[in-house]
Amino acid sequence: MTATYKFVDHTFDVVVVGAGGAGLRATLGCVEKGLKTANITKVFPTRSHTVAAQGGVAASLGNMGPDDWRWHMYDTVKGSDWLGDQDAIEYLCRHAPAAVYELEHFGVPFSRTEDGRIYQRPFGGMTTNFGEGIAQRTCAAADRTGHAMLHTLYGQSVRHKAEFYIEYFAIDLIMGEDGSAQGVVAIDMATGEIHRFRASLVILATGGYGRAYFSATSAHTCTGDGNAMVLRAGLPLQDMEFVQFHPTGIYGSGCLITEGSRGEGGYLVNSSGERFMERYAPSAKDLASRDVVSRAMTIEIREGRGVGPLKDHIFLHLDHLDPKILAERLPGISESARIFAGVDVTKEPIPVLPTVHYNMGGIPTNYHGEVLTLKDGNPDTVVPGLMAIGEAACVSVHGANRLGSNSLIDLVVFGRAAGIRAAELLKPDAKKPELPKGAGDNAVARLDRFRNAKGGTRTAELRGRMQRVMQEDVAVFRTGETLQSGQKRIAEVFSGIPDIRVSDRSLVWNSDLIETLEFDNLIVQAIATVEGAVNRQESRGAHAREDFPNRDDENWMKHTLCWVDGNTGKPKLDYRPVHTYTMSNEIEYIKPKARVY
Amino acid sequence: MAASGNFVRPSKPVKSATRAFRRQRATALALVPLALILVAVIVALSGTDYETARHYLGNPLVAIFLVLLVGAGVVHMRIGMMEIIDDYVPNAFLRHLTLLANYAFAIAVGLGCLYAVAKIAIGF
Amino acid sequence: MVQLRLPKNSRVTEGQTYKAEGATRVRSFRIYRWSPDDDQNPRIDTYEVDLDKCGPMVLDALIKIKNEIDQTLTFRRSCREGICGSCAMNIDGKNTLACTHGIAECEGKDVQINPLPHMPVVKDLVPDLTNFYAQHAYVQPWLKTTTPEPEKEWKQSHEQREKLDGLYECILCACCSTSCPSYWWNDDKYLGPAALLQSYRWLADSRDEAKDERLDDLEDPFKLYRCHTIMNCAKACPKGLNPAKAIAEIKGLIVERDS
Repeated sequence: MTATYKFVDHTFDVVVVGAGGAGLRATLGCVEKGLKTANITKVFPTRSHTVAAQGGVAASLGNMGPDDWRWHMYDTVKGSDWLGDQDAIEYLCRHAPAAVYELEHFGVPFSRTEDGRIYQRPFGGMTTNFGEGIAQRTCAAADRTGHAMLHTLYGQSVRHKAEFYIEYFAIDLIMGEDGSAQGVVAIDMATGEIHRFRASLVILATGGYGRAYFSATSAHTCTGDGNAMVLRAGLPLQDMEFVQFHPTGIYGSGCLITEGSRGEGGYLVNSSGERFMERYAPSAKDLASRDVVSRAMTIEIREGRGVGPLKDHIFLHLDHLDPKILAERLPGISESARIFAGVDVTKEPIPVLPTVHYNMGGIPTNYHGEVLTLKDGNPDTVVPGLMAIGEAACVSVHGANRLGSNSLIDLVVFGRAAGIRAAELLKPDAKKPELPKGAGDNAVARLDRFRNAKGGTRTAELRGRMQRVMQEDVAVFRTGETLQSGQKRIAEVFSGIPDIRVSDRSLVWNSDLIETLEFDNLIVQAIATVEGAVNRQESRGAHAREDFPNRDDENWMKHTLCWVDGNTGKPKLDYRPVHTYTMSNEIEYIKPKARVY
Repeated sequence: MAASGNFVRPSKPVKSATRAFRRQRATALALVPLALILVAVIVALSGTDYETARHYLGNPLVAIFLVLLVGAGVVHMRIGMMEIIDDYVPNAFLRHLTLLANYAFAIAVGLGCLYAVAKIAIGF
Repeated sequence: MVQLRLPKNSRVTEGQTYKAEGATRVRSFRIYRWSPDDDQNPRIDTYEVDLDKCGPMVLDALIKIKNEIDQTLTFRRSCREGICGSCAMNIDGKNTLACTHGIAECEGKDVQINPLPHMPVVKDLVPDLTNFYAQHAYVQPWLKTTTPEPEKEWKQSHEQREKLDGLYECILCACCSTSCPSYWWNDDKYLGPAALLQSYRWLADSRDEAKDERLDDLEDPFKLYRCHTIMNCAKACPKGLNPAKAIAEIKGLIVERDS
């Protein structure tokens, strides 16, 4: 360890990394159970990207008509293109209503029905009676549901006096010799002090890595830091090839326009004014699942039917809707469209484009949130002391494609599950084993290496190259050719890291250094994404291979596991079987069939 | 950065703060007609000699009006000054001292005015 | 007491100028720089930006400067769509979000960028918001009920829910509080518009059953009554909210209760 750094040591029962919806819900759960809990977050909690979620949170409350968690489960399984683990999906859908009522009791200002209950709107892929009708299942607080949830969860954390370490950037996990997680090392951005958190349990709630792409709805801070920490700890990530493109990112800026806009009656048109979704999804139309709509839009543009001078985007019409409904239910996107596209939604269509939005892949876990790995032939080996939740995790409830509004429910259901599991595993203030000798040295070495990086390439330049490769070669449609090119080009970007340059040498709020650490996190995930995509020779959910246009259940009904060596950038692949069983006998395994909307 | 700070919850609400707020608003409202009447009185008295003015001010109706004006004006002045002191004197000891002086000044002004009005009206 | 000039070590000096060579459509960004690492006074650095190669928002320009010209420039940013509240700063003399403020909207010849006024600066455009967050926490931003919770949701009518519109949308960017002169003088005692808006968000919630308690916590000469309806808060709010109105509503509630 370099002499200039000194550890500030802390000991906790639980350390949660990340203060988005999942991280806050887990923190809350642990604190309520009397566990001494720290939450480390690189941004103030209400600035986490959950805040940008718009449309709503799915739960079969049945406030707008009959609903059943089994129907929700069916939709989620079908949405996942049968790659989701059905035991986990059952857990999610069964616990969803209770989780939403809990949020309401916390104070979330949900929109209301005429009789004062939580308002629910239709969303893509959400049906009644196993695919027959259109369900209104997505509980909404106007189009600011994520904001309402995150602020409420933060308020609850304040209420329970959760201990926050705000604007601390987690560098690496501390792993014991037995392969268990024992803590985290983080840097206090305000002072540059290095803090070593020893804990019986580390919960990673670090979100997705949308910023591996050039254009994403994700915030600048969505860099999947936890995913990369897991890779560096020698553990695999799962199903990283499945990257969701949201059909309606604003053309140019990539800002999100909620799927709820189509749920409220909006529709997409091409240059001839045709509602083209009717051709691609005759029954669900504009409310087909996201991968289907994104592909349809891409085909329309590719075949010359895009709008605009370059014919490179699509129009989303809301101008036929009652301005009062727009003001009441979609005020946020009306504002976004005005600011970022210069459009008055009551009069003009919004120019939109499929934009990277969500990572179905992540850290493999079971439905308690415990991280899994493949060890000695057991694909469900639990990694002691480590959990992952939220977008960082791959439970896997979203499989190959997530349904809109299933991510917010994922956050609270599995955030809660992690807290419950933590209480089962730990006794408050139980004695913790001493940290192994040299614990945290790896993190400090990593930090020091970049802090003094004096090469010739700016971080932003390398990051930009990576983002363009991902955008061009690992897009909505993929072929063996583009993916192999992507593989090669990403490896080239990786090989540029030794020449990286960090100009800011300060330890106080050194965002140049933090961005470099984030880039270093992104690039290994980019490698895992491309590798999984090259390898998977079928089309399933968000992974659409033009050279393998069909789903191949015989060979590919399995999760991809990918390890990436942080030093060499060399990936290694293996597989986990999909759980083809449910959690209880109250619903049978939903057998694969053709996925038509 | 931590999300905990030094804002101390009061052991009980400080009702005088709300009283001051209400009085300031009430006297402000009262001063609108009172000030208008004052203007009217000044206009009516302009150009008259001392004795006429004195006689006019000695009229019970005008005297009562003047008492009301002085009362509302002085209370409003005191609260207004108190607001400024609360705003700009951060040191607690100095603030309390200044507030006391402000009180004393308001009482002195008020008593002085009332004495003058009484002397004219009752003529002692 | 009130200081009329900045202390010697805080006076702003002229810094470096970075030219944009070969660009035709150029705009200069004059940005406040200060780092605690050296004993230097704060300075204004001038960066020329080629608008033909830059996005439309002020944040786009800041990111371009950081990526291509000066990696040490420090500011907070995250969602870039006006919902996370990270990139609040003083642009062109007005507190706002860099991500939703267009470069074209800036009226002066050069775009002046400073940190949020009257806050301790950590570095460059990053202010220390610890006290601001403490004020938010002080108003107990959570639903308080005494009635046993229903099995399902608390009922709330359309009209009751509508009362929360214009209140719950706050993103805690601190633009309002740091634009308020009263907050500048008394941020250790006055809660400021953001926290008071938050307080009223709960007072106005039909589900909340702790109105008295909440009002008690606000009733003293400073926490609430330092608001002198200057209205800078309403003018500054990048989300179009009106904290001043919320504060007036709270005063009304207290007066009503105490009379």
